[in-house]
Amino acid sequence: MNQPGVQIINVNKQFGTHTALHNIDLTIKSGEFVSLLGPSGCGKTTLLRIISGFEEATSGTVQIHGVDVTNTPPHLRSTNIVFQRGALFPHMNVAENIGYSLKLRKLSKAQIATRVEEMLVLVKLEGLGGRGPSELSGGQVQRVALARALASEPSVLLLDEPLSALDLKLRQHMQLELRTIQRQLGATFIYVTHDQTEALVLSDQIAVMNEGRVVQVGSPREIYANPATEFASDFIGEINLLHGTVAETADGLVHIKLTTGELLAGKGSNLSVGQRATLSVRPESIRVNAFNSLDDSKFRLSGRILDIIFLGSRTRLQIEIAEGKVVLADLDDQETVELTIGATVKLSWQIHQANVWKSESGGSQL
Amino acid sequence: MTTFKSSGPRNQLRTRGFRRSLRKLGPAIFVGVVLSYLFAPVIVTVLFSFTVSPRLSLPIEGFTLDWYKSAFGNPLFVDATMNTLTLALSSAIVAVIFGTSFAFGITSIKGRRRRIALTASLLPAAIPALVLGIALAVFFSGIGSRQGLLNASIGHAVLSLPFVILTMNARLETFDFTTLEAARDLGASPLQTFRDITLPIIRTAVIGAGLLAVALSLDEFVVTWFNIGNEMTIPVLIWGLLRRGIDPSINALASVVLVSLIAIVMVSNRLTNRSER
Repeated sequence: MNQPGVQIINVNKQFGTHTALHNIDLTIKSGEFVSLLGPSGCGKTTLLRIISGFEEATSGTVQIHGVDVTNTPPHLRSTNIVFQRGALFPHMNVAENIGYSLKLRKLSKAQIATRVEEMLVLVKLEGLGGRGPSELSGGQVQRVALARALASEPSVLLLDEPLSALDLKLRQHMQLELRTIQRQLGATFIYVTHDQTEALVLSDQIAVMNEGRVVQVGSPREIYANPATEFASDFIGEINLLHGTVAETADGLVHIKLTTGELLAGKGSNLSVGQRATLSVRPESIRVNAFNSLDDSKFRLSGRILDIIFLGSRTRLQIEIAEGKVVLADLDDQETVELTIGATVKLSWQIHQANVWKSESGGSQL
Repeated sequence: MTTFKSSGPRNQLRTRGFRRSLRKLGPAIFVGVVLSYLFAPVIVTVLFSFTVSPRLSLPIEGFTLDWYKSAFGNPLFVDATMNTLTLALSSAIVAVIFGTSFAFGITSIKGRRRRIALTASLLPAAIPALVLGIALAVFFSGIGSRQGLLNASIGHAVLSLPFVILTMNARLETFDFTTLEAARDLGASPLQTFRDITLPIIRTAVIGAGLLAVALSLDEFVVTWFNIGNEMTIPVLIWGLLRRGIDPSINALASVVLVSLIAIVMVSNRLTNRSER
């Protein structure tokens, strides 16, 4: 059952002189929940529209279940979209909306009614079949849109930020339901979002996109723990980025001399001495005043506590390690008992929890 | 509250109350004057279409339907009515088809070019009917088209096109084009999408715009006069009758046109307003 559901092979997209997609290669397994994650303008929606057939790739091919659909118009593709704002047909009631694709397939009235009823149960809108779209709440509209897209059993369901218009509570609730529905149906879902939390919660696989390229593909855990680029590490979860130059490389370990003078180490490859580099470490990986944790006593980073912020399950420290350069550290509650604002503390982390990248941005370096 | 009251403040209160009511009454009176200025001639026309005396004079001596009988009995009346309806229907259909297509067409254009296209399409509404009528007559004779109903119908379509475009453009501003993509995505061909989604959503606005075009055509005289040749319409008939002197049957004809126009415009307004939700 691991045949590719959707295969995107070397797809490029030009809008005039602007290149929206660069050589996209992506294989999405059948039955998986895959997110296309990236900031706005990264090309994720364009890619979704190419898969659905509403945009034509400038070059490259799209295959669905092994069949080349590159030149197939949208109404002949077995993909259905859940649009950002539902796009329900305003002159049809909920049941007619859900049943529209079945009516086009010339199913009998009885068959359509049965299927519509199944769909209403699936999205928990039993009894609302007679309502008009204007009588629905935002969450209900998206449920109907989902039911409408799923009614004809598409081989691939495309979701274009379907929850972005909902408030946080409802969004979180709908995320879990989407996950359940996808597992229940075993369908392939491709989910476009700019919300990294959403992608982490929902996906089997995440494809991180930036500036028209797929930067990294992997499970949420992989991407969180081992981001492939500085962009991926910065975009997913919160992270501290420390800039400097490579001082020494050995066995996958890189020593980096910060612009402020400290010498630190992390995992890294393909770097040479003297190159400008960035070390990244997650706030929850940082320990405060815990000696012996440093693999080598010459790695030292200390700073002054600017603020202590209670976040419920954990406490966040803002630590100024140099003029204007603040590092975030998330600690358990007990660890912070003896800390006070203004105190100077020593920071440490396990070397394998830090990554060193070649600096991507030519921009401001501290 | 003090129990002591001089008559002074009370008088002041009264004048203040009077001023206040005047301030309220003033605008109402003004509106009344403007409205009667607008409608007095129309009311006089309708009123005298029912009076016994053939002269337009007061006091009114009695009421009769004779003028309607004589108007409808005019041998030219049936012909003129048929022609008027033919013109109204044909020009409205043409204007609605072209106007709606145009309004849809310019939704895919953005910014300055869209504004230019829209303004250009509305220009015929600003050109004097006299100029338009003569221009069309010259144009038709230039291409060798004989004066007649066809030419007049084309002229009427040109006249109502801007109003159809304006109505449809307003409707399409609240039209959610992603619903069309949704239909295509669910398996509808472009034709099925138009039949199942586009048309039902814009139908009331289309009918409203069509009725507006009918209303504009029904009482059109100038463009008709220059292009229709020997044929007769109700406005042309009224003009012909006027040349023979004032005759209350003209009032009767005018009243009939007036009532049908009011009905059509009211229905048209209701439809276009409702379709904008």
